[in-house]
Amino acid sequence: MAEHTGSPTEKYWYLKQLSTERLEALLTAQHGADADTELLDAIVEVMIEREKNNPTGRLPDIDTAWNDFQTYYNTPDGEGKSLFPEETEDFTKSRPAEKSLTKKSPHSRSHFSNCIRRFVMPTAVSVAATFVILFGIQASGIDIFGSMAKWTNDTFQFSAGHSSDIYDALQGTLSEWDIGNVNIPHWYPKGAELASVDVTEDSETVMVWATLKSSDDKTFFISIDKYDAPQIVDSYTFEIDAESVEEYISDSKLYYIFTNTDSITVAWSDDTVLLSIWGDLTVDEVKGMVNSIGG
Amino acid sequence: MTPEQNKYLEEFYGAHFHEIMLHAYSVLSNWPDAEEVAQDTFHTASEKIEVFMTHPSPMGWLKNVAKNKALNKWRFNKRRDQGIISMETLSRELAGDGADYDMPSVVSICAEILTPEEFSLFREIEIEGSDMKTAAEQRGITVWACQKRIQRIKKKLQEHWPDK
Repeated sequence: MAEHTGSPTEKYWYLKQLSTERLEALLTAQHGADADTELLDAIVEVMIEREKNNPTGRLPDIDTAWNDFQTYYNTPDGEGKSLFPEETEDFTKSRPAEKSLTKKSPHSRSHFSNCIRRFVMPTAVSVAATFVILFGIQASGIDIFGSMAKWTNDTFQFSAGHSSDIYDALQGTLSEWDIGNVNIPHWYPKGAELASVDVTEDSETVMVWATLKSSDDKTFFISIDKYDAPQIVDSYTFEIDAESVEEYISDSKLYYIFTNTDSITVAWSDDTVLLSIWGDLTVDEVKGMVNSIGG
Repeated sequence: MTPEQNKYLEEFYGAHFHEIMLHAYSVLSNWPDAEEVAQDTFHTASEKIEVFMTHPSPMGWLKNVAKNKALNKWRFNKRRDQGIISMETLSRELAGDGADYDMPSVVSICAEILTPEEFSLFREIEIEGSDMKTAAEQRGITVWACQKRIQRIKKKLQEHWPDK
């Protein structure tokens, strides 16, 4: 596996494998005195690069923005004025504390249509291709940016080392957030330890993201996204640059395993849950974890 | 600004506008608001161009300005939301105890106090939360002219409801 040193983007290489919505959530979690500025800068770099290659409209065209600046802002009548005069009040005092984490009440399962499509499927590859997998729910002309509500988030620190400890710790967190019925791996690579679990919630989704480290300082992640709203607003796009993709069936479930030279990702979804595991792993380790799901 | 200063600002803008906008987004979680803050940030940079150009870390300076402006925008949004709650409260008071209240009745009183143009702008900015640039663009004016109009509108309403 390649070493990841140097720039923040290299250090946080896994950011490139996250959806844009996930990056947005991570970005908004970096605020206040505890903000990780290096991570924030890395997220910014990835988002700018992604928007440059595949514009979504989140960031305006620079020439248009400059024209707007000259037309509406940088004008003689704006001399000495500001729309939002700077204040230097301590952010932690001015912004209310993150709202208390409340347990969600169970919701009845909603009926969504799954849509899984594979756009590119090369055979023997030496050139990376982009695979786009759509999980979950089809959008119907709903403004997904306008629908993004405020996120709450929390981070739990762990020191669980054995597979059963990791399973218990992760399962406990899922149960805390009323998604304990989601099946997760029982087996983890030897020497793996659960470092932290981050939970991010909005009105329609709970995202649980576990960071695990192995004895030789490798890092990998498990994320569980649970969609709960009766009318979900967007389809989840799982976009990844990979050299190959494999369909893997375990316990009658179809998993997609994406392989790169420096990382592996496996993803699975049903109507309301998206499970993904990715990072410094071998294919055997990934399959071992997948095979232990629900066991 | 001198031509040299203008060139510096334009090049910096082109290279870093998106970055500043994303930093603003990290506070605001709203793309139009983030863009508005980023524009206001570069406006401040143009106002303080000598400070900006000669600062040991121009990007650090700009990020700091953007962060503080984003916080201020965040507080503005909260106050606006509370203003809507205040209108609800006022509607209840007007309706009387136990009666059904109709928030639009307060809004229609505002419509009576203000001219149609003033009311339209007030509704867009203060109730619907539109950004200043969109409102300015629709009216063919600068954001500063728009800002001035909003200030006059608020003063007019305050004269009608001095205690609210």
